[in-house]
Amino acid sequence: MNGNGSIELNASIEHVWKKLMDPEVLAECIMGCKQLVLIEEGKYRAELAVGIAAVKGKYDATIELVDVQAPKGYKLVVHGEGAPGFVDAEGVIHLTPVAEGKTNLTYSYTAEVGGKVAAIGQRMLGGVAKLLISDFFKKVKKEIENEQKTA
Amino acid sequence: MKPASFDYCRPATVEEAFQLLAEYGDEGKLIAGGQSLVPILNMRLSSPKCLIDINELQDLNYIRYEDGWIKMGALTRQRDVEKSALIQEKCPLLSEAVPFIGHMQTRNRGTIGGSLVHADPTAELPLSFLALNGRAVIQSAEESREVDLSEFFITYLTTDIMPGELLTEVKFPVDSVPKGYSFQEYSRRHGDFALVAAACILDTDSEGRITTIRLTMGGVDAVPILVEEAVDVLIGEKLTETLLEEAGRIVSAHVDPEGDLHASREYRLHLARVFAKKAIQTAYHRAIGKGSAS
Amino acid sequence: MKQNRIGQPMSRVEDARLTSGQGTYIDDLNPLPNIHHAAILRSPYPHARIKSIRTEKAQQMPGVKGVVTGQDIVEMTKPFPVGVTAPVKYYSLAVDKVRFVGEPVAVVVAKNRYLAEDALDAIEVEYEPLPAVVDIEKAMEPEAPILHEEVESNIANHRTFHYGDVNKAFMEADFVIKHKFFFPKYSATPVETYGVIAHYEACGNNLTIWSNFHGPFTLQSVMAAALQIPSNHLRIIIPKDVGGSYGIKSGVFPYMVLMGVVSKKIGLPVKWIEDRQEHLMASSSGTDRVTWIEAAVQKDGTVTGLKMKMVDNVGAYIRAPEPACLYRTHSNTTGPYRIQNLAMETVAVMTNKSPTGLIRGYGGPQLYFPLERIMHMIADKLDMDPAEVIRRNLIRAEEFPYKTASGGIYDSGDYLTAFEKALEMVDYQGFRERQEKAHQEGKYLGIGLACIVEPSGSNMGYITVALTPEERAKSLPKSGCAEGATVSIDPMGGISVRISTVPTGQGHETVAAQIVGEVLGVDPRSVKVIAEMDTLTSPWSVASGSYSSRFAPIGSSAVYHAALKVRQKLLEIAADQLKESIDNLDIESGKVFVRNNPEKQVSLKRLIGSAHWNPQGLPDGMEPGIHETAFYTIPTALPPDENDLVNGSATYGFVADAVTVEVDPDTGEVKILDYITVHDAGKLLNPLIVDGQIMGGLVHGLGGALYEELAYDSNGQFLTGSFMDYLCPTATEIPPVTIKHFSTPSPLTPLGAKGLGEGNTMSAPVVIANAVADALSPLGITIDSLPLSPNRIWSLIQEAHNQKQLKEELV
Repeated sequence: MNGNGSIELNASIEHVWKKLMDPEVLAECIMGCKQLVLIEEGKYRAELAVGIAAVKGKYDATIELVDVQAPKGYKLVVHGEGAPGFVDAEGVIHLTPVAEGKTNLTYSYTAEVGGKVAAIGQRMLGGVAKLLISDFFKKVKKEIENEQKTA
Repeated sequence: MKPASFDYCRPATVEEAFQLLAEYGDEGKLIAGGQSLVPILNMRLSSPKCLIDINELQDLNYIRYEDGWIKMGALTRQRDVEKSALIQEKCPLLSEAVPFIGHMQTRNRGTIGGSLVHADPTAELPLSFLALNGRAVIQSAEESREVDLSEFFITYLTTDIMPGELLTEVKFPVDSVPKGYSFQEYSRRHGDFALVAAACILDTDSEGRITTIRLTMGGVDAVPILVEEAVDVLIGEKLTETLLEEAGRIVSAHVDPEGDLHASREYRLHLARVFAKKAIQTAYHRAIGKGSAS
Repeated sequence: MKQNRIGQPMSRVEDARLTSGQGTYIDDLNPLPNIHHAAILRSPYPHARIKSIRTEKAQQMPGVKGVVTGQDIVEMTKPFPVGVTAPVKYYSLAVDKVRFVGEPVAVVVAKNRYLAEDALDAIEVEYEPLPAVVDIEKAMEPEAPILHEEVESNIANHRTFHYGDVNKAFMEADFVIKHKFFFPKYSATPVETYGVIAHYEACGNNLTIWSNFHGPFTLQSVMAAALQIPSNHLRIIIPKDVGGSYGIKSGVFPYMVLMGVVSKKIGLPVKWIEDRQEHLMASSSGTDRVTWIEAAVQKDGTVTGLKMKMVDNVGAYIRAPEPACLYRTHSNTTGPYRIQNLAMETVAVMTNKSPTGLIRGYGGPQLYFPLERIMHMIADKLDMDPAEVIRRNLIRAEEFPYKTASGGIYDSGDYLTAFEKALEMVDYQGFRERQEKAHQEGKYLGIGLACIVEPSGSNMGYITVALTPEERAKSLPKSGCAEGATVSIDPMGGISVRISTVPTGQGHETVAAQIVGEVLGVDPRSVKVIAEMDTLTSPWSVASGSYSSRFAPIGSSAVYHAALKVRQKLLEIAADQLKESIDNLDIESGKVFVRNNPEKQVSLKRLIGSAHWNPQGLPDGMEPGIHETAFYTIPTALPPDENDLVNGSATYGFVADAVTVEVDPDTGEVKILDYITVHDAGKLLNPLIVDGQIMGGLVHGLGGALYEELAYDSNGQFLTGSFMDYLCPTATEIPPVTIKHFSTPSPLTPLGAKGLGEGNTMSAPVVIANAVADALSPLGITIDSLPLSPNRIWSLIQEAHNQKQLKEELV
């Protein structure tokens, strides 16, 4: 599965970048994530609960930030394994300043889902993946803009 | 395919059900007909700590006509809707839609409430109730509220129901129910999930000009979609081949289906157009008294 | 009492228990106390190295008795032997690597299945994913990911064959037509899944395995070899009721070995019942195949030569009896046509899909798809009627027994008459007229034809044609299709029959009773047939089991011969007691009597009593008791010779199908208007059972044509893990079907019977494809792959319209 999208953020590119690099912000935004534990430079371990409505599975995941180019963007690599199978997702995030205090965030992603969920979830997998990823960025926007308001 | 272990409770009253919902929070899951939930449990796609069986709550099992509304309790079995003479008389759209739900055996157990709360994007009941301008009656221990179905379905398998709440009734107005109706579904086999579905109700004046029309499409998005733009072009007009074609084209332009193993995105868009047209055309023929066109 | 004899529509003796919930299937068996339950952890990756497996947490969980992993398997078993020279190592659990999604990685044994599944979640496996390949052609490319490092490529078997003078035929042809065809991977999805109960007893080193396995019992030696256990210490018991198989349950053998090892390691009897997800993902299936076919054709439509390159995808491990998928139809490659110049190249390739095995039709659907399609394409090219092209090439009645280019011996047949009957029943001419009219109205009607030869009763020698003559010469030749049966009568006259044909729903108990009833002159309903199989007590050999429709030609013949031995003994006792020549005696209605003087008679009861109660009164040299076993094989089932000629089957039936369809251009849906099938399976032993089997094969073939596929994405992820996505036709998808029987009895079998039930799995996919191709021919659409889903048909129509528009714009 793959796709792309973009969101407008009411914050400066520096502020957005700072937030996107903050593991606490990422933990807040990644679905069902309790906390990110640093295991090596730019790489974290986490427990995720991924799914929709009652259909949720627990995954032991690693989240890595690669190709980091401050403050323009990076690639987020997520690999999760759990009873329902595994998830491999890569998202490339790109930031461009639009105006004073406004930044455009564009993203593209590829995701591969394997195991039980892939074998029985074909009817909804593509749509749900798209939904979860756009949810992540909606949460990112909320995190960034709330912070900005209180700043 | 055995489920993870769970506690099991069977409340005798709605109040008891609320207590259990409060106690278990999001670890509690209601079970009524179980036709969607039990496979999900067996495949371990979901492992709630407690199953709250509401089959005892027979006060929620009814089909009534009251003050110009049809009201159905959430626990009404789909098969009872299928066999209901009242429904056949007052909203034949439902009578036409229900036989497409699974198979007779599953309809003996499945409930209308369960179908609505499960919110499968291809399900027949959400689609039909939306076409009928339905409302959901939702109760919690503290209060009762109503939600228009156009706001009830949020996304895949997700509705407006909050923790601690119970869908108790679905209702829709029937006194001014249009004469024309049609439910169309395309699937690979009898009883399968729809690839695309369309529900249409409409009414005409004595000249055959369309006065009211509602068209909903299923299987083309995360939730059932009310396609208003497509029907706007038809208001006040007699249905011609050209207008029908235009309506179909607009439907195609306003839905956003995913592709999957059985149907690519392009094919679904094409089917959406084909079946939207079939639904509108059949509903129109019924409204102007020509009977079923298909 | 002439009712219910051979050939009569006797209602099945099995039905009473099956329809009242009193069948005994594997899951109903509880042969021992203290049975524990197994659950299997399976790979979510199509191809990966196993870096570590940690089972400590799982072992601590409630009710868990132990966990077994690949490490144990490697220590306790040897790889499964397989009939190719490629050094592929296939174990019952993944060892060091996983090679397909669903491959078993570990087994948990617990008090019940629920607890065992809970413990699966606690096993920690560290995988290192590797690139995967599932496409047949990609797997053969030099840079393809290699599944088995020891093999150095993904090719498990590769042979070429030349019969006749193919080059001459192609040089002298008026034209050559060639095309490439794709056939999908699908299963037969029996309602009952795999089941195994294994019990290892350390004292005496005895392993007893109960399972719904049905042979071929060549696989018993494969299992014993893997388990490193003497063959008479491996007792395999099959219950009398198996809920369908259609070949798929021959693939349960790796799980039988697995549970045997698990029972040995944990020290407890273990039961494993497969669930539907496991079954779709990791049981067995038919192969997907790519075929390059070329036909040398004369301008009158005569086909003088064929070249076929067939590449089968046997999945991640080649396992016995593969690559038989490529060779099962070796002897009937040219189908019902008179083509004596044949070149074949056969390749078995391994990819990251589930391993394959026996399936209804076994190679037949894959063979006839290109063959019957190309006959229609020839007709297209020559602007001839496809019926005429077929007619021209059909083997004529006078030519039987017919020796095929590759060594097959077609025993009997009248293909032309059966074919003409099919055309008449479908009103071929009338349909062509209706088709023309419909086209003018913008409708797409089409008619498809297919003629196929249905082989039955495998000659075990055919599998060795996977090896070259030089390789074959290194070991014992393989041949025959041996089956055994025992007919015995107890002291009170109760007749019992033991068969080793392991029925999976075909009604063997009924037909065996009919045969014994006829031979011994008794009511078949008084004959008790024991269908349970036990390798320590049943009369069996390597070919035993139910597959390749062998009960009718072979199994029934073994029963017949055993019954004849009993009859002979009874007549000899009677001759002695009545002081008459045995030639003057007949046996009927429970007595033996003198033909021309029926008053002179003796009851069977008395004869049987004599054998048991008064053995000293028997004729000199005669043994006491009545207990006769016969083993039967067919003389024409010889090993392949040094020219790779082999007669792969005992008998050959014929099926001619004619199908009419309408294609909806709006949805791409194919609607079958009429399905006519004319069947020749020689003498029918029970017409009531036959029609059910034909319908089953037909609907399965329809599934392959329109619905069924075990789908994988290009990364090797398995996509059809439930019946939501793996689509089997149900009762509502069955079109109007007309079955017509035709009979040219086999001269080779004592009852004249040939096998049936697989024919339409081989003809339906292609006859439906032919009909759809015919319907869409005005649009210039080529049909060369399956299934013909509405999405696929619609896309083809769109593409054709776009091409047309493009052409018009260029003009």
